[in-house]
Amino acid sequence: MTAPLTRARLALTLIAIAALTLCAVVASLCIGSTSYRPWQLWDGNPDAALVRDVVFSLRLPRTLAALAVGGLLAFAGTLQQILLRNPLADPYVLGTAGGASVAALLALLLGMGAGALALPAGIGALLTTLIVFALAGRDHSTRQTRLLLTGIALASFCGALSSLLLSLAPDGLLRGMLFWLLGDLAGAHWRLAAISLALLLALVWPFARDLNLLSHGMQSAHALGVDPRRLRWLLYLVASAATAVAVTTAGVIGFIGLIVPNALRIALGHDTRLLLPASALTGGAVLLIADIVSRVILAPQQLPVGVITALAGVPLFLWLLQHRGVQR
Amino acid sequence: MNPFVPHQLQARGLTLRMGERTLVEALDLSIQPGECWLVLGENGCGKSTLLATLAGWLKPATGSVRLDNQALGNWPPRQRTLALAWLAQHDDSPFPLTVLEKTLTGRHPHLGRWDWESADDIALAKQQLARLDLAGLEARDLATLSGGERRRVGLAAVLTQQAPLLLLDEPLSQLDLRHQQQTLAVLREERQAGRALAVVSHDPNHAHDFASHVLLLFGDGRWLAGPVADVLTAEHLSALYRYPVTALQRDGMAWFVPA
Amino acid sequence: MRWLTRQRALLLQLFLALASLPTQAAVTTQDDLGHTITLPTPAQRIISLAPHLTEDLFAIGAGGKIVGAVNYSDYPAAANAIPRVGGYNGFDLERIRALKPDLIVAWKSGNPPRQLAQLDTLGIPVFYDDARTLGDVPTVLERLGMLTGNTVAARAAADTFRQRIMALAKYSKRRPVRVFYQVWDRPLMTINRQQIISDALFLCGAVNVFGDLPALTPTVDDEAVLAANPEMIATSGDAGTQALAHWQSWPNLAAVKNKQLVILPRDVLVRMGPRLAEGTEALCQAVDKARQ
Repeated sequence: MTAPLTRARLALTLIAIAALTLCAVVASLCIGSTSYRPWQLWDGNPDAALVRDVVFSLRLPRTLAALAVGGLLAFAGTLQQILLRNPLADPYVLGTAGGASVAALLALLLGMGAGALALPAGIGALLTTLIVFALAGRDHSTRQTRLLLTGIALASFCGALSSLLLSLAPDGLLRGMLFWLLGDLAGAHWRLAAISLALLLALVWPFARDLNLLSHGMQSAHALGVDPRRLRWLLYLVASAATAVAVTTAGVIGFIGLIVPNALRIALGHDTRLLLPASALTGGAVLLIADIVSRVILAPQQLPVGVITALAGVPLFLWLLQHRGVQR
Repeated sequence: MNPFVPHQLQARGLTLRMGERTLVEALDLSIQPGECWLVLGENGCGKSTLLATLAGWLKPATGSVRLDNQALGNWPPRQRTLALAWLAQHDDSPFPLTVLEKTLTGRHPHLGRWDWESADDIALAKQQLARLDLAGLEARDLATLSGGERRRVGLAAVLTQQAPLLLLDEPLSQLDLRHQQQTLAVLREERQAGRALAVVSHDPNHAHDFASHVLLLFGDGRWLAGPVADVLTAEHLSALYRYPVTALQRDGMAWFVPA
Repeated sequence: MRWLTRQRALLLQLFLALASLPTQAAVTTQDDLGHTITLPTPAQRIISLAPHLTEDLFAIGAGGKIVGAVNYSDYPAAANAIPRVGGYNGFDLERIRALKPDLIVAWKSGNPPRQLAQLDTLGIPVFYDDARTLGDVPTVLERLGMLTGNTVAARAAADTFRQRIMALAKYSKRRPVRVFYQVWDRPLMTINRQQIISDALFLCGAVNVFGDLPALTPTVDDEAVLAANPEMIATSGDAGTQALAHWQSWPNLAAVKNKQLVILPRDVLVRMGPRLAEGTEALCQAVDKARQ
């Protein structure tokens, strides 16, 4: 971006993204595994009750859940990239998702129903968050190597624990466990995710200019009046909370948290003031579109939404990287 | 140029350690408005550590840094940065960043939480870029610049901050001869405007027409501080660099070269 | 007379020898992959690589010959005492070898192919079970009877199974009931027509609403279930499981309106062993109840 970000450009960009998101929402309400459409509600259709159930009780909550979860993931990814000063960071890099998965799998193995896993998953995510920060929270180096390595090590450990639990699990439970590893929006509760996204965004956005400085360098941030240590705590806790809520709501959905923030960086520049709200909106829209595809393409059979985000997202991202990378 | 309140920066009994090594022991220093201190010493002698400590980034082993007779740590960050600017030695962003964006970061201390950079801020940033021969590069990505150009952008950001005290860690390194002289001239102007500067350098000759004081750091705890005339001698420099240095006289000025 | 007696005695001896041949000499049969398995003597040390195969062996009276079984081989109760050789989806070849089996019964679609390939190299005869329909189950029982020498008990078990299944044929002529069989609740998984439970559904006069899907155990969404509007939703599990609870939020669903959310006993409908008859009976009764 040649010109510095202005309020007007911020507003226009966000309005444009919001408009695209709205299109995706409308599409999501109109398209599904069955051929019911919202307008069938009004034309005296004998199936009106069924149409109402499908559109308002199934498609709408799922749509909102996709928006919130995708938003949380892209938002958390943006924060982790700034925190670790590494564009390759994703929401799961510090083990938050691993902890949630392990706790959820354990709860499943101990006989808890698939519907009641939010609590153990949340606790698992919180625990890994605390462990990582207890071990590496004092890493004030510019590269944040200790934090990154601690997180990666713990994430691998959780991955191994998940594999262990999977290999111990009986056949029936395996299916429910795989959900945590592939991600699924069916039956996801959107309220907690949507409220969390709104609150966390509102909490962090006022510090967006400080985050800009932090992403440029810890020392220059200090020299400009930012307290990098306190800001890193904020970043870490908010990113972890966002990831924990996302994973708790819909399992581990890959690629959104890595690809959406990086694609937006290429398309819109690196100003966090724009990047944070834009990634929250775009992440939601991208996950929603992927979810529409996953539930329609082989309807009524469903595909794991994480597979769609990766299959469609990665080539698109690589194209963007090639296309825009040369201009710089 | 904005009017500004002069500030003074003091080091009292400052001891700096790096692991087991004592770099600087019991340093007493007072940087007054209008003064320019040239900080000289071998690689690894603690020049950057000292500047980072003076900037409040590192905590000294003992002693304190005081800004206007108040401990630096007690200053609210924003008030501190309105008084004190620091150009760190290394400053590479992992994310792409344009020259103008980087320069505008200097306005951060002047902006409230909900403020945006104004047209005046942008004009000021462009002005500082122009002074350092960077006009026309505003939209370039920092990563595509040469090392010397990046260094000057960093300096432009610090100047955009408009603080009365400037701590500059090797602002002239990686600069070619013409840009060194151009940048020195800019710094000279800043000093004449009443600012105080502490500049880390590897060339004692940068002191000419520029520095009022010199601080020599020997890297083993010893230090020597004082006006240029008293401190900057061939004898002291030979001891400092542990290599014979001789002074050549020209136009009534001493130029230091390896013997 | 004497000669005659002598000759008779000789014939009698010969006859006795021939009669006892199947238990004394080589036994042979074909498994579901069409391999001919010949054992020099009926198997005495058997390893079972699936819980339902353990049940099969017990049903034909060969339970005492199992020297190793995989985890979850928990029926009948005596099976719990058999040393374990790992899970059906990953077992310990070293331990299997050390148990010196003379027959391994493997589950073609459940056991990992790589490990099955390794089993072949061990030189121990392997009987592959690949039952896909209700009709396949008794033939497996009979052939396992051949290999273990328990032919009589095996035939009896197979006949009982067939009779119980035949007795259910009356249901297939009654009014078809639209059924959604839920394998798992999240993700929401069901079965297609090729799965053995669909065979049971067909027998019970039920229509699997997702029978046409291409995948054996496809994932579907709630919307598709609402649109299919099944008259009954069934799953297998322990009594009191909450796996069907979320359907209660759709009062317009026929199955909910008619209170036909059915939890069938755990394992009996899912394992392709002799208890499948029991499971199918329970399913048919539930379907018939939903029919009224």
